[in-house]
Amino acid sequence: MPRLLSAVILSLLFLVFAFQPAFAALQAEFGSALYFRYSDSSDMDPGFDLPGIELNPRFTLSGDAGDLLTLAFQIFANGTMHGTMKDLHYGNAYLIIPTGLDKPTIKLGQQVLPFGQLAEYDTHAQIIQNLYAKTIGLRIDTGISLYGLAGAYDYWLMISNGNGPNRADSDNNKLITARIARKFILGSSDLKVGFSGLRGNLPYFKPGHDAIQAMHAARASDYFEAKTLVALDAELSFGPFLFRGELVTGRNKLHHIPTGSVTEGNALGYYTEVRYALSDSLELIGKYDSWKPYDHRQERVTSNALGLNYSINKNVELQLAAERFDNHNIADAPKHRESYTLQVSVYF
Amino acid sequence: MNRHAMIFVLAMLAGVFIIPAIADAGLCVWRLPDRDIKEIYGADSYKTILVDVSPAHKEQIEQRLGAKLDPDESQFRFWPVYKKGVRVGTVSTHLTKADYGAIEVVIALEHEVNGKNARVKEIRIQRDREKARKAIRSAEFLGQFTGKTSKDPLEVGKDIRPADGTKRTSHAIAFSVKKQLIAFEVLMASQAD
Repeated sequence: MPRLLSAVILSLLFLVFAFQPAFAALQAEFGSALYFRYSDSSDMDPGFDLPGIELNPRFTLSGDAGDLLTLAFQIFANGTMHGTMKDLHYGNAYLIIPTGLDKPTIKLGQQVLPFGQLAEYDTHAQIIQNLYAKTIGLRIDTGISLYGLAGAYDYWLMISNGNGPNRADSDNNKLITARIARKFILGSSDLKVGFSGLRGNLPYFKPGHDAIQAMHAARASDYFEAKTLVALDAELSFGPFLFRGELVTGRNKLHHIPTGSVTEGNALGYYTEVRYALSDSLELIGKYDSWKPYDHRQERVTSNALGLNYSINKNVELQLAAERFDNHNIADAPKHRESYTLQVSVYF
Repeated sequence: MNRHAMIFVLAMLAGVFIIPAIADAGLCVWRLPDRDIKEIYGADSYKTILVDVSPAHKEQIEQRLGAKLDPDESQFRFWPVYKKGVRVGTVSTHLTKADYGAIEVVIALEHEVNGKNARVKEIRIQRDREKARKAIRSAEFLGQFTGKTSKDPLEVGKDIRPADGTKRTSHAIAFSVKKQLIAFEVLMASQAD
């Protein structure tokens, strides 16, 4: 979005929220969270860490008979998280404009891409992450989206820059993401199934160098990847059991910018996660995922993890996870890597 | 142990041992507002109202509830619901602990246009991990709340029969309904819309 237009929109918003019209009322909420970690991995020294302290202010302007606008921010106040990892977790800043029941709601700004499980599963506070960092390399992007209900279906449509938060659109090539989902009630279980598609240019991370595997991962600046991907995702909740799965496939085209060379191939990835609540506070988690970005190459990354979540109360959660990453046939990455993480999340 | 590690350990201890004392936040997101207002009220819009709980309000709510508010329940969120511009009810949500973790309850109230004479229109469970999911979501259990007011006991064993196989979860849901009804009356019903 051109800077001038952004400045005009922000100025108008400031005026609207600062000088509320007579017919409107402003509601403000101030949430915050902080995360402490102790981590040990096969390629780094063990240590304590404070990845992030965040502030989540949210302002809603309401009229006589309905909300008019909502402005939400996720502010990274302090912490050690940086670079690509920070871009994946922080940067939400958006305006929500409801247009009425059975009509699409407009969401404008930096927001989570509605691709696969990202549309409905907030991975932000979790140690165990799903497939997005490997498949699309982004979680939060700048753009405009429409979402709402169409009969029994939920839908999302988003057009964005494809560069991540707090970055200008360097290539003027928009990323288009769409998803449709439906919930089924099957006796005593709930099943939600989603189908999404994505097309556009995205940053490239060399296999084995994604931000889930390495805190210091950086995009390979000499490359970009043109992607046309589809994803089928499902969430099955059956009493204390919760299953999440995602299957991603499509076409990747890797462009080497200095030479103009292109590598093309079919991609295939999947993610499975099972959670079981043992009590009112304790939950076991297991996951396995796999990503093969080009079918004609032998490169493939897999990971499996085992974790435990302990909810001390609704404000404090303790997570423990052991994860093993395997890099198959990748020349410049370690064959495997293990990490052990203890995280305390505090919400207030 | 270096200074950063010391700070970390102290902060962890604070998190683990001090914050539990201020436990159980009641704030809960409303996950499916459009679907809920359409199905429950046949309505077309809602708005967000946040109300701070003053010390006088807190005392009043706790006295009527017969229990303390959670220490972080210093603000309640309500959503008045409208049909063609006329207020037809109010929704609130509550998150509480059940047998297998958090359970999220949607409390849909109907009342006069000015908020007086509130009673339960419908109760929904928007998220749970309970073994007895079918029982706690059944019309047989949730239907018991319809028409209840804050003057009703809303207690398992008195005017509410527990859902099959889960007395604790049934109690948690009944308590959520009672708390939100009383909070609505104290914080919202006296306000002119």
